[in-house]
Amino acid sequence: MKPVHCLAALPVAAFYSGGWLAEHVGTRLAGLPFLMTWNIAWLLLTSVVMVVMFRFDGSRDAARAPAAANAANAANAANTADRDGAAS
Amino acid sequence: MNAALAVIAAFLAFALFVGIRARRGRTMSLEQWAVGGRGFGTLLVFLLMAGEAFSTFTFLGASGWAYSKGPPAFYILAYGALAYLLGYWMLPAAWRHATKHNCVSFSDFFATAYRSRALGVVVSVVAVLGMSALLIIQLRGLGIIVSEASYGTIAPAVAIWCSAIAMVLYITVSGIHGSASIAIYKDILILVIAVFLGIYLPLHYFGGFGEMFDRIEAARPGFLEMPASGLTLSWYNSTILLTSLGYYLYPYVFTSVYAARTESAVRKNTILMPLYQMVIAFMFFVGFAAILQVPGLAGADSDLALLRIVKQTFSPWFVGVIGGVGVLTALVPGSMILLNASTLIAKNIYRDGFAPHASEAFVGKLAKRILPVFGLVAVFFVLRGGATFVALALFASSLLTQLFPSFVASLLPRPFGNKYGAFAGIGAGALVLLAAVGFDVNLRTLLPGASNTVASINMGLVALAVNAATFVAVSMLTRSRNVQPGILRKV
Repeated sequence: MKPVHCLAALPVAAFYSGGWLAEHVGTRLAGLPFLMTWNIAWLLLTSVVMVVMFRFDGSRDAARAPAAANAANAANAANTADRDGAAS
Repeated sequence: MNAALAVIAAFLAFALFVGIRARRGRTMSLEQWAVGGRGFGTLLVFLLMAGEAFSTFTFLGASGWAYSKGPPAFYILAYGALAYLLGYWMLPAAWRHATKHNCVSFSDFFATAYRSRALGVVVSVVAVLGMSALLIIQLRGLGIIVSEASYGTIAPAVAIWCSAIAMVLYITVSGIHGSASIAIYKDILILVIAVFLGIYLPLHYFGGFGEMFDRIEAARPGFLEMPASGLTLSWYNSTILLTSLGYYLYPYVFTSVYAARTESAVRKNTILMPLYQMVIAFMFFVGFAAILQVPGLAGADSDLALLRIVKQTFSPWFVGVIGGVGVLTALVPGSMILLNASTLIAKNIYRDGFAPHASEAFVGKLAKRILPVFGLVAVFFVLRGGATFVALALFASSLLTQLFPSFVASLLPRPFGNKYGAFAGIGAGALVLLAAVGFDVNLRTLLPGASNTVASINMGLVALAVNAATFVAVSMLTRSRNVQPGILRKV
């Protein structure tokens, strides 16, 4: 987990608070049922969150420069062999 | 013969043509047939996963739920987004594992992760039963769509036979390539149709979205609020959790991950999927528009909301287009189910369970022989009913979610657990589900004094919690038995 991955907590918090907010804040938002507008907005924002994570967590760079990534992996192989075997 | 009928027939013929043509220039090894030789890029993986995730359920179910139940239906938007968020980490890890161990079927994953052929066989049996339920649902949905859209000229049975034959033909010839090439057309069409209907119907009948909801509110006060009993807020939240965790544990969704060329194709796919989920929001608008326009559909008939309002609004040729797209929404997931089920039966049940020395070529051939038989069995159960089998199959499909603890534990950076824990956890989850489904045990009967909030928590989630606790406990207790946890370190 990298610090940027903390952003993933936002959609989780949003989707679980949506139902409660709908009961306490108001049943309609922008003309639609509150929960519908809220969930649609957070669908889009979930994609945005993932784009930001993808941009800043290094996985995009790894995809673009596989050779460099492989070299880096090889260098790390000694101390992360355990992790690597686990995740794959 | 009316215009709608001709259009639907044209759609089916087109799908068959595209599906068979997809074979061109490829030799079909089992790996090529089942997982496209692991050569699919971001776009094709996206179309495949979208193709499987958005089936006849999106078409009939989403609008039907909005029509009959209102706000509880919005859980569908939430669980999808959370599942993809989880997939951002889970799927690349699953892809790495699958590629390293040359997995071609769903249960290969569990068999290699826990180094247990027996676990692979058990998972296969559950998966095959679970997929039978889903195939039966797809075919039944297809029958409804075609008979409604053809104004009753085609009986559901005829539609089910024709499309099952088409599926078997193109999947046997082209394998996963057949599904993928049809998915391209289907996804574009359903996107266009959903957006069009979702915008046109509220504007046409009510003059706007806000006006539509005002009139629903006036006609049925309280309908746009979460119900106080039954599908309550705690049902909503617990169901989001359960379904988002179980989302990828449907074998035919899961194995599309295997077809990806790179890890990053899988990850980009999880980024795109929430946007595609918007299709469902438009289907909700169709369902809401139908509340006042085609009132009175109750029970299972609420699934007809979309087709009824479309027939009331448009001319027959356009109804035919919608029926044709409906056929495609059943064909893509249906054919992926056939493909996966026959691979599972041939490879994981037959070879791993009974004939460990069978050659890859023989298993591939066997899978293609099993496919039409499996399709025939599914058609039989759709047409003849067979309530016991269908109940069993539906039970198996909810059991698939119970694979989550052992699945996710094997993907952790430091894998946890062993095959004993996996067996015990899945077994414990199954027992709770069995009690819930078979004997109608739920939190209300178990805890008579509990508040409404606790009592309406989804029982599947309770089963999952029991499962996870058992998995952890048994894995810790059997740790001393010299069992290597997790995955093979070297291959």
